[in-house]
Amino acid sequence: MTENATLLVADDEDNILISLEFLFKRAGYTVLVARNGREALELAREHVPDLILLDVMMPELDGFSVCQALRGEARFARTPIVMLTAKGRDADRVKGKALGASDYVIKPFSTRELLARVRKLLESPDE
Amino acid sequence: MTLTALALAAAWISLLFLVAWWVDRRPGRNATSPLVYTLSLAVYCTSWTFYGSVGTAADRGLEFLPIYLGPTLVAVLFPLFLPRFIALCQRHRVSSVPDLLAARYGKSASLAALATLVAVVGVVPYIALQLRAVDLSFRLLTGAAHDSGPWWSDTSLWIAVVMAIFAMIFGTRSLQATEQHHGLVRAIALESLLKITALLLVGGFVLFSVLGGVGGFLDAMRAQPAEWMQVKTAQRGYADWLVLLVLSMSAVVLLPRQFQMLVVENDNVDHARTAAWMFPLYLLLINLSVLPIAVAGRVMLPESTSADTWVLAFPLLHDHPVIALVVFLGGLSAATGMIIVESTALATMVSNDLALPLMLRARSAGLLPLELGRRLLRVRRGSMIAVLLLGYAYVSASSEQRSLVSMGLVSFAAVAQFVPGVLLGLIWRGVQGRAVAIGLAVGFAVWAHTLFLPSVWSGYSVHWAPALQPTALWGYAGMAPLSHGVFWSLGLNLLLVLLFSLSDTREAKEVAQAEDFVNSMRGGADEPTPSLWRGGVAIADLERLLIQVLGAEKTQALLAQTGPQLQADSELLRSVESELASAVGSASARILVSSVATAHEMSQDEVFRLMAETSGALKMARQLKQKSDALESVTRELRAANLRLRELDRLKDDFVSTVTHELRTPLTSIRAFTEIMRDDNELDQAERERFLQIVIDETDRLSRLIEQVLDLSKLESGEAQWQHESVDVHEAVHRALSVLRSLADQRGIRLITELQAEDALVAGDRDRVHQLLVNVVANALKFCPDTGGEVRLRSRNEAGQIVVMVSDNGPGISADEQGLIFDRFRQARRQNTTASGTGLGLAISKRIVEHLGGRIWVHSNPGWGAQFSFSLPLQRSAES
Repeated sequence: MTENATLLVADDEDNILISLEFLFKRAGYTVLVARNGREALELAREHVPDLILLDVMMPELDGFSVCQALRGEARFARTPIVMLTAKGRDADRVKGKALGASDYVIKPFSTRELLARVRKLLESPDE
Repeated sequence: MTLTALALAAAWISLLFLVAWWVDRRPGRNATSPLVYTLSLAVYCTSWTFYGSVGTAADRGLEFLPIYLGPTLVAVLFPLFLPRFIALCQRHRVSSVPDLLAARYGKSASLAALATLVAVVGVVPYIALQLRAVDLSFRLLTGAAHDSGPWWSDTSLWIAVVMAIFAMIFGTRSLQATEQHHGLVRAIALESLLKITALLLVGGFVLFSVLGGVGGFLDAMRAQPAEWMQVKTAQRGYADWLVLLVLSMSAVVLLPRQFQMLVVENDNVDHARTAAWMFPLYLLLINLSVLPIAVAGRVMLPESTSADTWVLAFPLLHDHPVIALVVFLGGLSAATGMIIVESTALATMVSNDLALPLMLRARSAGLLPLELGRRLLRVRRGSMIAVLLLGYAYVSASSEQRSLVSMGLVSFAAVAQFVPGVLLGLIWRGVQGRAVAIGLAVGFAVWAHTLFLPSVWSGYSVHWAPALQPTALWGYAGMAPLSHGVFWSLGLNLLLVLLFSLSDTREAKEVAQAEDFVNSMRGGADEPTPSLWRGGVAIADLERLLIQVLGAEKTQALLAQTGPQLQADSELLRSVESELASAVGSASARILVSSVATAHEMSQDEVFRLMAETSGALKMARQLKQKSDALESVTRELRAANLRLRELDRLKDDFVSTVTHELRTPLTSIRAFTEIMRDDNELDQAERERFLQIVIDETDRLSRLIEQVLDLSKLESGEAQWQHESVDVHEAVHRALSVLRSLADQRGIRLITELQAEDALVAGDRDRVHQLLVNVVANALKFCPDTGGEVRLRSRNEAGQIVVMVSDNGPGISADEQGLIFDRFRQARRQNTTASGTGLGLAISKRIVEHLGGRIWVHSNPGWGAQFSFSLPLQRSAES
């Protein structure tokens, strides 16, 4: 499962998107990128990725809404969803969990740690 | 005819009595309606109005009117003073005007007695007027000649006796004078309906049947001499009208029966508002018939008939017995109503303020006559008979030729003597009981000399002192007798009250009452007057006293509230005094309580100390109230300020959170790429350089962001330094374009300038204006499409300003966003392209424009680009 998994990464910051795409490709994943919430939703439905990373503050549709929309569909019920946020307020963390996010990563993050968390979620999504 | 008239009169008065009896028997539901209250005030309209107005109008034209204009003026003011006045009187258990004076001026028994004397003697001519009118109408109706037989054949005597009996039946069934006579009030209301109906009926009859309609009435009026309807003639002038106005204004409140109905019988102060318009309306309606009858009488009736009988003469002359009977009943009704209420009110005064103090004084203190209550009732009944017999005596003594109204006006002048004591006492604390007593006594004496005695004794004169002629005091003969008498009696009265109030010789209890009365009328809080009794009176003594006056039942009820104790405290004595006051008046109540508590009345020193304590406490309470009001308003302000602060705090939190977000975003890229370069050994040179460039760009973005946050906070806090110099906006445009041109060229964006303003000089800071233009133009560049982008800069002059417009052909801004676009960090959310802006540019621009006295705004249709405009005031117009 870990190898050749497909990841969807959504963020409205070009440079962050570039770094994440590069990072995960180097780690051996297939990476889909989206620049806003709507694009993320479309790509997810089209490709049904194995794991999804969502920035919270995105134009068109924010990360929480995307997460909520996906959790409402049966095929995404168990897909790990990781929220990325630059705000890091407890209220946001609680909201993310309530909407079914699997993990919550605060920007700026350590790339090693992010990779470790993604790997772990892909191996045992239920934890 | 005689028998029919007598039977109808008996039937009508029985009906009135039945109404009163039925209402009093009915348990509960006794509250009067505003209509009933107003109609009961119409007891003001007596035989005077019913017969006498036509009598006056026949002779002196419109002079019957001021008697109703005065009450109308007072009635209109009812809502302003009446509710407070009623509340004040009822709180002090005031049952009459003498009672009111006594209560206001330290419960003075002698003042109350004097006032009662004035009221009784003063009202006698008024009672006489009623007897005369009933007598006249009865004799006219039955065709009886004026008596020349023995005394017992005199109709007016029998009328007086019958009236006294009615009055006793109606008015003295309970001792409690302030207890309201609900039945009586209803009966008077009914009586008022009959008299107005009868008068309108006969007025209509005369107008349409005798005069032949309105046209005939007007013709008859025109045929009269002009002088008849004039206010000012050789014999009379405006001063006489003024005197009539003053007299009627005081009478409508201070006549014993008016005070009874207006104040004592009132059970809802809100009725004052209805009475304020309804009572004047009643007065207007009841006077409608006067002029038609008067003019018809002048034209058609022989001069020998008394004009006071014209109201009844017309239906008789034209042979309309039914109308004649209705008129007779209406007139009888008007007279009866007046006599019943007037004599009830007078009897209460006599028993409470004359008889009781005398009875008490006749005995040694502590020994009260047994069955005081029953004795007082007997006194009341006796005084009713006495008052009516006095009225009869006055009728017999006064000339048959005297008009009804001239008799009534003598009484009005007597009642007006109460005005200084009552009116001044309610508005000025300094008026003293002694001064009021002196003024009233002198005013009464002058009244008797100039008005009363001449009216009963045709030969009355003072031969030995020519300067004291009743109609020309000190030789002033220019005035009409009434105006002359009123001028001297009321003038001296007022002068003496003022004069003797100048030096304060009052006792403490009078000061206390004065304070309370004046405060209450000014709408102050009703603070209970402190008890001026020391406690320690044996309850048994008190009980004996109460049983004698109030009866066993009421005594038990009163004492039951206090619980088992052997000695009465000062509070109980106060409430006992108040309860007694409602039965026997405030002056007598004080005498009664002191009869058992003689050693317990406070000494002058004690009273003063108590007063000082109480007024100190009151003052403190008032100050506390003010303080607490002030605190409350401060609390409100604090709450509002707190809300504002919380809102500011929330905005600051949002700002901090947003800044945090904006700082973390470039940091995220920097850290991610740095870690990638650290961990990834297989990066090629090109990738490494590209990543390093990103790191450098993001670092730049961070610095820019920090700079702008600091800049914005300087602008917002007002710490920014501003140069004051002349700035050419066009030059600033070119400077900004030179900075941004390379950026535009990179993205293939065309820059177009159309600067049309003739005057571009503004006063401001050159660097700030430059910063403003760079921000606005950079913002426009940012939103241009990647191909075919175009930014257009235009300027023009407009009303002393220069307006600069910067438009792009980008995606535009939705209406929702337009309102928020100048908020901090707004732009960051809508940009979809490179991370080149900080989101603070427009917020800073707005601050700059506003600091320079201009305005910045945006127009946009999504899909058609956006146009940012700002205006700055020109230096020239700012200086001129």
